[in-house]
Amino acid sequence: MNQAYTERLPRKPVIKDIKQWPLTKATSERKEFKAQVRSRTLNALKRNFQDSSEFYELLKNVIYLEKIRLTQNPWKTDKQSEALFWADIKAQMLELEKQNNHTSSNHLEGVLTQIINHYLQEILSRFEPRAYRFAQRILPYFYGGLLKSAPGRRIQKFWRSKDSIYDRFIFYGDIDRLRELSSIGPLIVLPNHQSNLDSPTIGYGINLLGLPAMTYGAGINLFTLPWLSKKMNQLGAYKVDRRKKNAIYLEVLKSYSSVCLARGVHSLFFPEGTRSRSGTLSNKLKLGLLGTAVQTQKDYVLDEGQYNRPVIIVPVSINYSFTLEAESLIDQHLKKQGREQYIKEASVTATSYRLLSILFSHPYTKPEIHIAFGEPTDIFGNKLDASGRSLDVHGNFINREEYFRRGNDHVHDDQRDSVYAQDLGQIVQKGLHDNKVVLSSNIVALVAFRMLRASFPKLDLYELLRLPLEDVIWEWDDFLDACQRTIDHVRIKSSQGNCILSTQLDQSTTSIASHGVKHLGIYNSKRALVRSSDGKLRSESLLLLHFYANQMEAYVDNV
Amino acid sequence: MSTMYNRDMGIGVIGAGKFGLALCNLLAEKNPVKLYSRRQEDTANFAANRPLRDVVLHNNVSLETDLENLCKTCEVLIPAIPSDNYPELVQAIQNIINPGHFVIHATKGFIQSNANPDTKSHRPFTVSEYFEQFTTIRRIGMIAGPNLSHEIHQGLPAGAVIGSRFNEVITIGKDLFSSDRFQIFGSNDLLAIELAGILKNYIAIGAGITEGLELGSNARSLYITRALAEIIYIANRLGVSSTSFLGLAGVGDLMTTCQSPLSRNFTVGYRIAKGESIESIVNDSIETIEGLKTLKLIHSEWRYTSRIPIAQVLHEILFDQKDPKGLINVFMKATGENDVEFAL
Repeated sequence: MNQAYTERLPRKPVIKDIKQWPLTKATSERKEFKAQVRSRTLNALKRNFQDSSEFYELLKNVIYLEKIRLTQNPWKTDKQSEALFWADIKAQMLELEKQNNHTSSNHLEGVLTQIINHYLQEILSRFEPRAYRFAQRILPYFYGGLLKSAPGRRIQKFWRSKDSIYDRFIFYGDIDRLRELSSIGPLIVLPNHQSNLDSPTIGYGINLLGLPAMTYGAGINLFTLPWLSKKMNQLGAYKVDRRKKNAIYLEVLKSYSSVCLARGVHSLFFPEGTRSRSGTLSNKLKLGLLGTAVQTQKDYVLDEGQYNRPVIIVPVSINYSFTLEAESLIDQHLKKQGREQYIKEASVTATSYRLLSILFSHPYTKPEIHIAFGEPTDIFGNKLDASGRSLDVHGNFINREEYFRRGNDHVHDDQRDSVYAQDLGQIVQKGLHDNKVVLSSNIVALVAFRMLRASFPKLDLYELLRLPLEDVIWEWDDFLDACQRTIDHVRIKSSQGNCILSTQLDQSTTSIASHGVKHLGIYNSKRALVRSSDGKLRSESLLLLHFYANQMEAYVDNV
Repeated sequence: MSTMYNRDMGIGVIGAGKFGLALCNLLAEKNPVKLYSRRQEDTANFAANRPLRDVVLHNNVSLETDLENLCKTCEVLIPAIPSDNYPELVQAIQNIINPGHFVIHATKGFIQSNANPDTKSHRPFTVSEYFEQFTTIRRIGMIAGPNLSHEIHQGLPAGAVIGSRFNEVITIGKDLFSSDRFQIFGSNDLLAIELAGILKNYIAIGAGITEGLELGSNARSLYITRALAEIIYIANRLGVSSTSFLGLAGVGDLMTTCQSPLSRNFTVGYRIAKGESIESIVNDSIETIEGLKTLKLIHSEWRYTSRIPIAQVLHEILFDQKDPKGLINVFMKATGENDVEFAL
């Protein structure tokens, strides 16, 4: 049993005209949009820094932090003009001090506005329908190559492949409900993060399902190439600079996503913040942007026109049988965890020849991408009905306004909202965990690694990873037995709602195991598992095996 | 400023046990209070202005016999009922309550629930966890501390802590309860406050035994200190930090319940040491003895660890009819332990 989505892909867009998409509308009104972000930021800062002396301290602190960043941690993406800008700001501050105006809030606000504008200029994205349509046409070829399939149905014959890439994207969850809800309130799509491939994958996945484009934050380090930078901007990405941790910058970012949400723009962000180095799901989610979701919901219930509008939370689990950068990820993880105990495996450097050759290797495989959309909820974790109303566990309607009410008043209470955001973090965490789609490759990696651990009980992890590969052999029959037990276990877990069984697990144990071994980490320079000619199972890299086993570790108690 | 309680919210106390009545009278000093009691005789006694369970109620208290009505008219609910009664309570009010309600409960006991198969593997719930799981109410707090109802009824000075993750709840609680004779502190570590209140109950039973065995004050203090280490160990394992155990809900409550013959749990231990059987003590008691239930739950969840010797010995004494003197061994024969390792 699996819950795969069976409608034919790609689905018709929910809103046909790209010009009517919330993201297009918001970015076409650039001036008002900027003004809204600016005033929101100013108001928020004024709430937190109430008198002008606090304001003055804040500005001094930000100028100082920015100076440090520019001198000690410069990146290629930093514009030349930045140093000039901050020098100018500093000069203005000195001037204010000289004239003894540094306690006048009007003057300080002037400086602050300049800083906000500066940041806003950097962050802001401009969504271009043309670029989006272009990407829409290019991506099928990219994924067609990656998934070894024809890029679409029409040109199937030309590629002489029987299956199209639409058969390789497998979706789970109530997609029709999601499509309905997308025109009722802004979706906040929260995927797990394993690979750099995640951004285009989820972006393309959303497009295949006919959902309108979303705005998403991307690390400013990805914007090094000017043409790529432009393209990403045009697809709805906004820039996030991890180095800037000052109060003003963070507030501008928050206001940016608040204004997007307030305008009903669907947003996507990776709550784990960064790719998982170990392969496991992070248990520390970023709460900042979840706070924005709470804030927006509050603004909605206080606004008569949008009173019934929900902010919709959608955890998403993206699953591949391969992680392109698995080697470097697990390497970084073990270096940090194991320190001197960890000795790196000799690695093959990626050359463009290698990259080309892997795309043409493994001719008999059919890699798939499995994406599970969790049940859409409101920000309190309540289920939503088709018209966006919140339901409690007993099926009663909940008035979302009640969460923000005390007696007959609506009360602003940042502390309360921050607790709501913390709880939302827990809800998302559980959503990401429970929607993992278990692939055949997950099963084989976990089973092989657990068997290995069991046969060398005295070795610690680092000693185990250093075992000479010729000592590591799995007998196929034993391996199948263990797979069988694990699959049974996973079936129980899935019936309890703790994971989803992929379509791949509908087969017999032998087929699942063969399929898993064949597809596990196919694009890595070494294979985590291979079946050698004598029928036995071997590994070319225990590090990779460990990485892939980690993806399943939390779902199986013991084999 | 609207951070405080305003009267249109309404206060409803659920449960007319001794402690519920004590809270009622404290609250009634400042605001009108509705009291829900399901006992038939209370209606008649209240109408005739007679005291309920020897307690004379303040003029500001009115009696409400319809639970639905109470929840409709009161946004601050203060349940003071035995932990066993929560599933029934929540079932009765789940369709009336909404996220606009505030709950400040006063129950020092775990709730076991198998109502939902998903949560079967969950350890027993605290009251706040139970509300979060089965209702839409989020703003929940607990009032805990050394509060013997008898002394509160006499008007003696006392203090308590209100634990809640929401400052809103703490502020409202302070507003409602604090007075010249009742001091309120706040804590954001709700789970710690709840656990401190729950765990001290079984410890009090052991304290009663030391009293019944006439071991003297030195031994009792020795016992209490070791007991504190044990409950902090359990709390740590449940993911709670030790700090809150040094406050009113932890050490504060422990000092009172482990010294006072007015405490129900203490009395149980005392009578056991004097040779009575557990059945006869339970039969005599009008109100629930939370400590016994806590002990059973702790024992069933943790029996395989050597780190909770007091719970294990108490369980043997109470339910396997072992000699109460066995308790002495726990704190006299512990070897090689650091004094305050629990605080590290």
